[in-house]
Amino acid sequence: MNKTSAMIKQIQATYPESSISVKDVVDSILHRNQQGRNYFTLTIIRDGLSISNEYNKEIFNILIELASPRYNFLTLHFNFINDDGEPIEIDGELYYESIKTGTFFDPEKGTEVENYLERIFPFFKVVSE
Amino acid sequence: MTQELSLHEVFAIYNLDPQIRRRINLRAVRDPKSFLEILMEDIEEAIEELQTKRDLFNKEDVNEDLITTYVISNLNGKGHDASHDNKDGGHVDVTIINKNCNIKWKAEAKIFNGEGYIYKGWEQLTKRYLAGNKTDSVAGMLIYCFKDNAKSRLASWLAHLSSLESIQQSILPCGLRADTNSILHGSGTQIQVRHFMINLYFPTTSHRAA
Repeated sequence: MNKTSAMIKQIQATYPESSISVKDVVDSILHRNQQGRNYFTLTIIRDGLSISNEYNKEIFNILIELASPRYNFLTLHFNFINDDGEPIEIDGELYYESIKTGTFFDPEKGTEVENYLERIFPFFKVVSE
Repeated sequence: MTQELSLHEVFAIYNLDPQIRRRINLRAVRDPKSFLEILMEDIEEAIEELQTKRDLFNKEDVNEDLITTYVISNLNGKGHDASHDNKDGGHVDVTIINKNCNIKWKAEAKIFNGEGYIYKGWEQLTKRYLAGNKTDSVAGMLIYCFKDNAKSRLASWLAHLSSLESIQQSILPCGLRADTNSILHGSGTQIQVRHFMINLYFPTTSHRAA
């Protein structure tokens, strides 16, 4: 069994009741990655597999598991949407600090952002071999 | 274009369950210090759950491995990469790896059968399993206490340890956790060990408490 198959099997076993196939999610990511995409979100995966949003939780469960360092497959990242509506990638440590303290400062302006969780968007990248 | 989901909306999918927040934190961090903060919280929660079920572990056939397997399984369920009996200078009871943070946290697990018995575990941990590698600056001792007054057992264990080794110790306010700083015999490098005295005393059984 190769590394990807073993990963799929292990994650599927973690969520035996899931209606979403881990293999379908992984295949979709790999297929798009081969076409040059390396930006994946819950919505991109869901729409790519033509799945309704009632399965958001199950898809996110799989994505967050695929981002475990044990598999070296995906990594988790965050975009902050600035006042101009532009995404700015923020460091994972900055995100963690904001969760711990409950405060987040605009990385460009230095001003505190209220309701910052509404302006931070998680996304995933495939780890390059 | 379909609307992307913010963290606020992701948390809402999980009905604000703190577990998803912690799991996202675990995937986000890259600094060993941040990882250890999360790991310590998750170990404390695993211990809390273990102590809640301590009646199930008060049986003759329950050994260190069985309890440790429970802890490992609990931590894996929280998204960690935890394993039991990993071969690394011997069979390490608990190994938790996070490659993003370049950390390998090892722990020795022992049932409290006297300070001398715990010391054997300490020696295994500090003389065999920890080689002074970059990932070897922090470790743990899980001590399963079936006897009463776990707090006093931790104090007696630390007194015993400090009579045999040069350590700096600090007992945490709860009285059931302590950190020690010492020098690894082999490498001469510093090691910080968190000692977890885990209360598994359950008064209806007598064999463990005796």
